[in-house]
Amino acid sequence: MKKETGFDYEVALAGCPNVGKSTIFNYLTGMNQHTGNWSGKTVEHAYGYHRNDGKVYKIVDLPGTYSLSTGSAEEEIAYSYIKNSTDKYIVIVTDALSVERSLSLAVQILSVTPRAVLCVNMMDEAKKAGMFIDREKLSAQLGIPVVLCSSRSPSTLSELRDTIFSLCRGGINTDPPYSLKGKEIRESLGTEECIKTVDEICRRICAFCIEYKSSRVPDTKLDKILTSKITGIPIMLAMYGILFWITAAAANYPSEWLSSLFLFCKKYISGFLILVHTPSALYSLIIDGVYTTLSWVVAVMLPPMAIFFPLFSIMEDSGYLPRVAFNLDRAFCKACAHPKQSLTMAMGMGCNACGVMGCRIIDTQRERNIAIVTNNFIPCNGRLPALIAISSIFFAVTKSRTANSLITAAVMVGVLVFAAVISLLMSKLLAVTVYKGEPSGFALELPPYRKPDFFKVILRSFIDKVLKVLLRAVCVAAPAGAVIWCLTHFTVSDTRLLDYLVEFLNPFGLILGLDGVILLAFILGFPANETVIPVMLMSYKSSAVMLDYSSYTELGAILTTNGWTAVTALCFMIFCVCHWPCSTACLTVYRETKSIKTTLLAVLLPTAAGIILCLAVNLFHSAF
Amino acid sequence: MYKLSEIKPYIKVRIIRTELPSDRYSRRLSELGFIEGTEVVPLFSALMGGIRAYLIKGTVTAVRDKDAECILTEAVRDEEGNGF
Repeated sequence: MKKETGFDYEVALAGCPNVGKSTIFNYLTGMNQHTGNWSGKTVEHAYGYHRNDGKVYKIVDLPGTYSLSTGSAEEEIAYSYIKNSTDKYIVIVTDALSVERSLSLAVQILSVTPRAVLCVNMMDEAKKAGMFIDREKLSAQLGIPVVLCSSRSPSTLSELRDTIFSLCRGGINTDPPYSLKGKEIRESLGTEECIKTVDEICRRICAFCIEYKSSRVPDTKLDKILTSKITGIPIMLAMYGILFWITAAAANYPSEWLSSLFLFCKKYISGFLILVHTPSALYSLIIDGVYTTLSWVVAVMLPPMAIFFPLFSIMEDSGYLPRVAFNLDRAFCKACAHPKQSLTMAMGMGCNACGVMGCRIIDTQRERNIAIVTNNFIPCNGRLPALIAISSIFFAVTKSRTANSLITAAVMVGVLVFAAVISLLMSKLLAVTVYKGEPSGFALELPPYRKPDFFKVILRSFIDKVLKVLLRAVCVAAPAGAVIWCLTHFTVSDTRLLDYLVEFLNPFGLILGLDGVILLAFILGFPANETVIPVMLMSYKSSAVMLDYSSYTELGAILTTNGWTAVTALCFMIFCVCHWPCSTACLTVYRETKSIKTTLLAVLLPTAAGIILCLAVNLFHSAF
Repeated sequence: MYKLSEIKPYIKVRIIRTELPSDRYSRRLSELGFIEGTEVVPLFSALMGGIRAYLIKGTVTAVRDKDAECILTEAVRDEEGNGF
């Protein structure tokens, strides 16, 4: 038996998408996970390790596929892995509610290798639906051990784990019976006949082993409300509205707390620097440049991101997003965009780099490129605080705090709708010019609503987000602060470097309804969007001393003193939505497409759109 | 024989054959269960139209109307009677 170093047994998890494979993967590997790419492909490869009783098990998470064939990259990977698995073990994960369909993958896998365990997951939902699965009969029909699991019941998960271990150590004999037509299936994998044969076998097995105690029609009351002509769209807008409202309203408290913390620490850092006789220029660089920007990013930019992202993950986990894709399908059809683009756009709301990576779910290269190039129109988490801040200052100007947060939420929903519409218009433009071609066929699975494990999702995404932002703050915002400080303190013939740049950019900025400082801030914000406002503020103020980060009043005062009007705010928001992607997103576009042309297009298209729109708004305004 | 797109909601039908244009797409739909002999129940349509959700093999899967036109079906005689 060929053994790579580092582990004793290799176990792979295979299964259809949406069956809860990742829950099982997480259970088996805990924090001990690694993700990368399968060699030569852009499909994510996740694996981890589990130690038990002196033995090390390597757990590999195969990409979710509906069948073994060579259609898409995912299927090729799964198929070639399983074909070469003579010394490996497979855990076939199926979803109880759709076991008929998932069983066809199991039958195909068993035609290639008998070293497998069947895990029927989500048994709690099956029980609720009145389904009864006879485990012994199913195990006899397939010739392999069967474990009925539910992620809410840890005892079933540990039973699965123990069964896997027994299988690996040779404690269980597996013997798929002749009735599974292994040879016939193996030799015809990927053909129509194969699918028909497998389908017949699965139907027979299910009829024998599964009983339904009640009608099989799923509860569609909720779905009908969410997709009806009258309530569908208002509910969609309201969902996002609530998300933005909670973010805008709740972010104030941690912001205040964090800014007090930073002010407090500043005294000590300042004291320390003076104590070690730091030269005054370096002192100023550290305190006024690096520390100020860093504290701004963490105190003002981080809270909205850390609140929005977990809430959004909950919405994702609940299964609502495919319904959005379902509702908007017609619009996407007319825009010649692949329907899954709505899902990648939703991912872009979290992070555009993730949205671009997420475009892997789109089968055809042509439609994938359209989705990738237009992804940046969707404002990511990093741009969210800036948009919220500007909407609050310039549009939420009533006397009531509640009314103000509602106005901000409404404006943000408007921004999102604008971004989605522009994105679709640009997709259509691309589809009739650069990326011409036939639309591909499509079927969308609407998984049952699952109550997300709130605590786990919030904890995981909150910690993940906070850590990522903190890391980026240190690696990007701090140096950006240093750069701005240098620009404001180094002079050439009595003029600050900053002023040269601003003056150079100013005429161009003014045509767009902005100014040189704003443009410079966007340019310097290329590494990370959340540094745009801090850089802007430091450029406006000669002395970069900020006393209160959390209140928008001071920010508003600085902006209006420097000539900002509501029109400037509008153009800022338009440009914020329509401009070049951040450095991480650009790199990701290149990595995913391996094409300089596509990357350039991804940079130029949003920028051109932003320039044209701002110009239009500004001209319109000057004409009145 | 009726086109799947013409079947009213909650009427159970069985697929007789599919006449989908491209091979690749027809295989994708087959994998999801849209093949000869499978029972399907239409559920609800999207608010803008153009696509409808169906109950097939225990899952809710949405298929575009113009593709559902290429799936030919026949009525199923149920002991409980047709419809729910």
